[in-house]
Formats: sequence, structure tokens, C-alpha cells
Amino acid sequence: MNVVNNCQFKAKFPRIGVLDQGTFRITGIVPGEPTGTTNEIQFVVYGTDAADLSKKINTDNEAIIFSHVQILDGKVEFVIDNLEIIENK
Amino acid sequence: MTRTNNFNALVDFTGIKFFQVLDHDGIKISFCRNIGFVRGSPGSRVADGIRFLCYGPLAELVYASIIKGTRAFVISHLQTRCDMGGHYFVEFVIEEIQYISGDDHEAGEKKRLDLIERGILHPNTSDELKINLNYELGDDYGLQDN
Repeated sequence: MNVVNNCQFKAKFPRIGVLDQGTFRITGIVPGEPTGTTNEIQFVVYGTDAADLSKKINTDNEAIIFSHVQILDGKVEFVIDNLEIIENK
Repeated sequence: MTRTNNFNALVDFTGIKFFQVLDHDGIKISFCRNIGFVRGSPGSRVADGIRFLCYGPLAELVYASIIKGTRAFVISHLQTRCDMGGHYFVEFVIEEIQYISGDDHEAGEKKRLDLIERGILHPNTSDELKINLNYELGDDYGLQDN
């Protein structure tokens, strides 16, 4: 875990993610604070974890995600460092 | 702070900042936006151009204190929004900020005193703490007549 760039979210996944050339991208919905609004953000996983996580995360899941922020092509995305599925319908 | 929507980072601020007083159903709320970047470290690349927001009295304090080159540790939460032009923004709302270096301490202090004068903040300085300690210890330690 990176101490100086560290995010912790509870997220749901409204759509199926895309695994492409060792990179897995998936849209996550994070509940707003304190209003409970929905924030749609991009999660990404690189390397060997990408294939594993693409099988683990699906639209029925809810997960606690440890990640760090990065900017790619001017867009904010969150690189998953660790993930724990907390609900699997 | 919530554990399910939380972003902590050591942020270097660019000095690009914006301040506005918002009108929310007749209630005036101070708002400020600062652009900052998070340095790269082993396992993460530099993240440049991140938007940090503040609301309320903290917005006024942060707007006064942050200048180009200010480094601070920020505890925040994620917020997304869409503007009139359909642009989607991912922003972070500052809940707590600890300045590490390069902040305009004088301007921040001036703003803090201004907020106290306006009755928005309650005074809480180290001097007052000292006065209170003297008051508490007065009888036993012979400080009353000093």
C-alpha cells in the first residue's frame, strides 16, 4: 500500500469489465459522502493480477478496494492494489 | 471520514485555485477548488492535475493558505459531477488538511482570526490553552499572583 497516494472505496460494478493485453478496466460505483449519491469511476488493474481479477469481479459483486489514483489521458482512474469481495449475490 | 469512500495523499499544490460563495437554497456556502499533484513513488506514477474541493469555513482557510508549492497531507473523499457542457469530473473533497511546507501561514492565520471575528470559528489558540492551564493550576502552583 502506498501511504502518500491511497484510496479506499466500497464499490459495485454496474457493467462487465474489459480485459485487453494484460490490462483489466472496469467501471465502479462508489457511494457518495454524506449524500449517498453515486459516483462512477474507472478502476484498472495491470499485469498478472489483471486476468485473476477479471474473473473475480462481476456485476453481482460488491468489494472493498484499496487503490491509488493516476491520471491517464487527462482522466482520473484508480489502480487497484488490493481487493476484497464483501458481497457476492 | 468514511472508510468506504476515502482518499489520502501527500499533495503538492500548483497554486491554481478558485473561490466562490455558492447560494444553496438561500444559504451562502464558501467553496474553493485547488489543483494539485501527487508525486510518483514505487508502484505509482505521478498524478498531475487532480482537483481538490473545499466547502464551508475550511474553503476560506484553504484558499488563503495554499499557494504555489504548498505541500500538504490531505484526507478527502471522492465526488463526481457533470458540468453543463457534459464534461465529467472526478474530484476530491478535503475533509482534513495538514500543511507540511510552503503554505502561506500568515494569510491562513489572518483568515482564521477573521472567521473567529465573524463568529464562524471558535477561538482555540495555544495562548488560550496556556491561560486556561494557569487558571486550572492557579491555587496549587501559586500562579495567581504572577
